[in-house]
Amino acid sequence: MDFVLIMKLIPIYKESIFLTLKLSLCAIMISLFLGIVCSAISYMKIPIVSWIIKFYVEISRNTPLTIQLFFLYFSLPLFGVRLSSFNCALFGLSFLGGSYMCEAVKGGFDSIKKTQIESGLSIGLNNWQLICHIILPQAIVLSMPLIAGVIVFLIKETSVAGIVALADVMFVTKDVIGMYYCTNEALFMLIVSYVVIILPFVLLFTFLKEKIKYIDNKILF
Amino acid sequence: MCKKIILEIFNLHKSFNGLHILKNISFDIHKGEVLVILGPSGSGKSTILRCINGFENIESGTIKFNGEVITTSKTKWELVRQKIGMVFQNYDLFPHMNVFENISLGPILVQKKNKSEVLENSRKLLERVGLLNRGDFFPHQLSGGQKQRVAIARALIMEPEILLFDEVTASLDPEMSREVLELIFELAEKGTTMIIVTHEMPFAKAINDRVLFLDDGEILENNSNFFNNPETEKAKRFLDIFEFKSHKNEKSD
Amino acid sequence: MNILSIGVLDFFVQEAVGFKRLLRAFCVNLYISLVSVLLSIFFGILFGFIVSKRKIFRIVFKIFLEIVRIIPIFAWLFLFYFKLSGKNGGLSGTAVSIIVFFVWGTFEFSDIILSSMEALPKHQYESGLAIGFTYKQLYKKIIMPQIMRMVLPNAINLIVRMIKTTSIVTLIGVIEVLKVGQQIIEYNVFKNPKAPFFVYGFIFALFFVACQTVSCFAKFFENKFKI
Repeated sequence: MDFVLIMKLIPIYKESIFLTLKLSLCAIMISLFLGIVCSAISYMKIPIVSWIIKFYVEISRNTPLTIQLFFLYFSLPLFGVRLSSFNCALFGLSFLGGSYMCEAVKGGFDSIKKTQIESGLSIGLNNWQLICHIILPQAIVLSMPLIAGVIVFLIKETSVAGIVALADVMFVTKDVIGMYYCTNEALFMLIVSYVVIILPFVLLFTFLKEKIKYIDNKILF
Repeated sequence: MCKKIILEIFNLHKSFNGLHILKNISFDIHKGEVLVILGPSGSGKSTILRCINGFENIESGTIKFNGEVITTSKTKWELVRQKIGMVFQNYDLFPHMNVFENISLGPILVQKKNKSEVLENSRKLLERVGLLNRGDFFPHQLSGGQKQRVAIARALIMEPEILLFDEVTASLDPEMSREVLELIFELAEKGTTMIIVTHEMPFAKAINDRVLFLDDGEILENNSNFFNNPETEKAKRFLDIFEFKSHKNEKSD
Repeated sequence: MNILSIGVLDFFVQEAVGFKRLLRAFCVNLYISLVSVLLSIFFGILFGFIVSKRKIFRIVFKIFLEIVRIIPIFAWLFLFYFKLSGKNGGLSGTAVSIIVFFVWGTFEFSDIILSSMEALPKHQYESGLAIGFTYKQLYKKIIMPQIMRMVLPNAINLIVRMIKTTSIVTLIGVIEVLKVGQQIIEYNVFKNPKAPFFVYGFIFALFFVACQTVSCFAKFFENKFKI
């Protein structure tokens, strides 16, 4: 293992790590927003929009991100829309992430006790007030573990973004191996990069999960 | 002495999954009256309360509240429920809000009252239920009895004309039940109109103005002297369930 | 939309062969999924039961599981591909994919079995033993039926994920549906500039149908298991 070469590779990988993180975080925020809105609409059973959302969730959950990205990257120019690699990857990731977040938040909605709803109704709240003040706050807290899972999932999915020529960790590794023939060093950096990106999130979420579980038994009885 | 009739129920029928749960229920309640509903499990007691408050659909029959029919499909239940308060068996306080917020949510959001006025009323109510120093606590920091008293305060602050209590001490141990029952007793003495579903016989005996005895979805008795003078056989047998004729140690003596 | 519809007809007439090629290439994806899934289920169940016996096994297992989970599958494929394949000969891309998917699948299945066993209330075990069951009878009559109900939805979820992930193997050079799709597009892009739309659209539909079919099987089995 050529450590001198590894030192040379660090700046390149640093760039790609930042890019991966930037892409992940943007995608996570858009997905979370999309997920909460879609979930709330499904929950309220608003007529036509709920069906569209159901359709959207089925489509994006049953097809791989790879094909969604290819579809976007190569088909959109035909309709006159030219997206940069980053925006294309972001669009694809958010599209996928939105449906996963929707399912995660839906899990939260489903775990709210029916009696909470009756409690709220019994003091005269209307449906809209019920959702804003009683249901939504509890649903989001209850769906935290699932949301955490989706976040880690999305960060890992960014590895595929390289197919739309985005200089993320995988793309850079491929390049580096091609240019310097240093398979071992590049693969080493690859592993290190992903551990650096994902491990903190996994540790954070495990810690939070334990903390919430402790409060869970008290808060959510 | 002719008190105003607040609630009238005519020929209520309710079925669920093919089971005829409520059969031809008819009764009314006067202002200031305490009506206790008794009966074996599954006789439909809670279901009646839930029908009054619009949590269950009915197959046929009418419910009139203050002379107005509330069992139409056009009923605006949010408005009705401001005047009919309900306290549930599992209290169901909102876990993400503290006691003050739980109580003041209704008046602020629904009755659109002034926030400082509402807080002042909440404070008075909390004092009345004996929990003034728990205002900033969260539900998970309270005992069962305290939670139930907050639930009662939450219903009271809406200034309802009638209060429904659905087996409110069923989840509590005897000590906590006592503090809740005493509060309900106080409210009764002040003239609050109530319908109470309970299994606590001594309490029911002490507080009732009238008893509705239900069995298998039908009203068997509508009696203002139920405990001393039950009219039907089934009622007599029901009251006997709570009595033990012999004492274990008597036999060995 | 008019231009699009002419494109579709054109495409169908001229490139029906293309669609057939895509279907055949999709079989490569399905083959990789099927082999990996079957191997993973078998070894996953075995592994899951073995690991559940001792606490130390469980701790070691969880550590390895997290290692497998932290690195994206694509990165694992890369890793194995460059080590086991490449210009030195060795395994084909397909073989490497199956190995990676098998390892991933086994860990995930074992985890599903383990979680289900942990989720089962302890008193189920105790009640059975108290009646005098042997361990074998206990597992057969009491534990397995209840675990299966918890395992099934998660297992189906995993299988669908594995089918979707086979789309990544194109990036290590396996000739499967995406690669063939790209070839078709390159060949046709001058004759028919709308080619990417139809080709990727078709592949999209293929994956969708495959995954939905598996999910539907799941619903069927779930109803069968419902007591």
